[in-house]
Amino acid sequence: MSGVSGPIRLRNVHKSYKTKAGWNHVLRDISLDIKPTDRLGVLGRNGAGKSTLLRIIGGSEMPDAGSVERGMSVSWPVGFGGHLQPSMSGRANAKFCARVYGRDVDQVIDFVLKFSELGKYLEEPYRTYSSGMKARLGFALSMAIEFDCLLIDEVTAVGDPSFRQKCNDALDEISENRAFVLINHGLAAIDRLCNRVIVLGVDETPFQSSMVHRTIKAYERCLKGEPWVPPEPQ
Amino acid sequence: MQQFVTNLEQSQRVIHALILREINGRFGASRLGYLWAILGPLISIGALYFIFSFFRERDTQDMPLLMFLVTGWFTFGFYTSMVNDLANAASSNQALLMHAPVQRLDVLTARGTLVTFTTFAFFVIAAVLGMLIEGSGLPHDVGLVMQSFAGAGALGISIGTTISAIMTYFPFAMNFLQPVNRIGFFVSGVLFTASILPSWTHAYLKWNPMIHPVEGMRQGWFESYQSPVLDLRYTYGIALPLMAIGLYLERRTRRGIKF
Repeated sequence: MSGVSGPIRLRNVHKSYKTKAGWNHVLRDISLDIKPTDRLGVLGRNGAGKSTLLRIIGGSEMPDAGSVERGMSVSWPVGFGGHLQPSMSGRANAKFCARVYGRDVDQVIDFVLKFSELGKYLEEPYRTYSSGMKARLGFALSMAIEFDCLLIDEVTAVGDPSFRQKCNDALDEISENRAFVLINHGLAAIDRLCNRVIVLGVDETPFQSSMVHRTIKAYERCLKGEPWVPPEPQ
Repeated sequence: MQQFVTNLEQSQRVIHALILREINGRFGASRLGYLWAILGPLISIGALYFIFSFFRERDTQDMPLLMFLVTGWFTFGFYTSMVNDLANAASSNQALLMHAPVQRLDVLTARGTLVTFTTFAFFVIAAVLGMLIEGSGLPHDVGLVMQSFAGAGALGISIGTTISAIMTYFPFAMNFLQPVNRIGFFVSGVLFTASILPSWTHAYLKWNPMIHPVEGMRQGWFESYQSPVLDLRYTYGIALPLMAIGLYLERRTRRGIKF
């Protein structure tokens, strides 16, 4: 952790990608503050820009226009195992992450071993892992590095039920003193864990609210084909 | 200033981690990883040695044949591995950029460092083998040998960095350079010396920036050889400005395309 935590500020962020059919404007004019106490859920259909938003918050991608300020340390998009080297063992991959973020290598390995319950598989090349094992390693690593703000991309949706439970418990625990941004198709998880939501791709500008439950209900109605009606403030 | 020092420390940490990761990923696959890596060039040089000593005798201007091949092979090889490794560094490590502390320039630096040390180590091993087999001596002008080796590397770094940045826009840029480098192997003096060619060709040979490091390496290593074309300033004169352009483009295209 960086010690001094401030908010993450996105101001008028735009992002578009070139596709064969032309330019695809994925994010339009997004302004967003993530405070150290925020647990933000991101809702939106496939292609609405959820993962892009996560990458921009994390800094692995630059916006085309607008600015991003980070007052706290931010994780990589957890659940994304692509940064792990397939031919290297889980242990070697964990060592690499620890070194990159300047953490104590042994402490990180100990934590990963305990949390992931991979046991002797930690010595095997990452490419031999099942998707559940990959999720275990990815999630354990992101917890071991201790970021101020975790970016979680669908990771809690994979793995067996006991591991999913473990992830949810861990998120519950860190939600007391750390921020996270959660993308999850399981709306129930967002409902339970988050205290704010942002809905992408339903309107010209993204809808943000701290009325998590009612926003999710409105989003569910929208998914069923009804027009998007934002929840009224009480 | 403090920000700069913090960034520098972070960069250093990241480059260290990247080098260890590359070593592990490249050579760590089997216990004999490094041995396999050095065997590749040794087998190629061995095959050429065999052909040139038994089937097609080569006029090497009194240079011992094996050492003649080793000096040419590793000087040109340093350049090509540098270009290939740097140009493909970003695309094959795209996912690493998910880590906020990892910058593309760190990835390039890590690969460049690793190529330099590996080539240098392999060169030394091959040279020692050459001395044992042929009884060839140590380089007589170490300064010139070092300048030539560095020249090959500098040219590789400058072209590799530039191509790496261009590949952000045109992923197939490397496909154009690959054939050029392949022809370069045959026209850069790896298998001949400038002095055995007719003197009217020298004016054309000099245009090739890679002929100078190879010729410089031979002139520095063997006391008997005087190159008729050697001008390392020409190589550096191309490499250094191109390196500045490459680094500028790298900055412009960092983390995605910007127009």
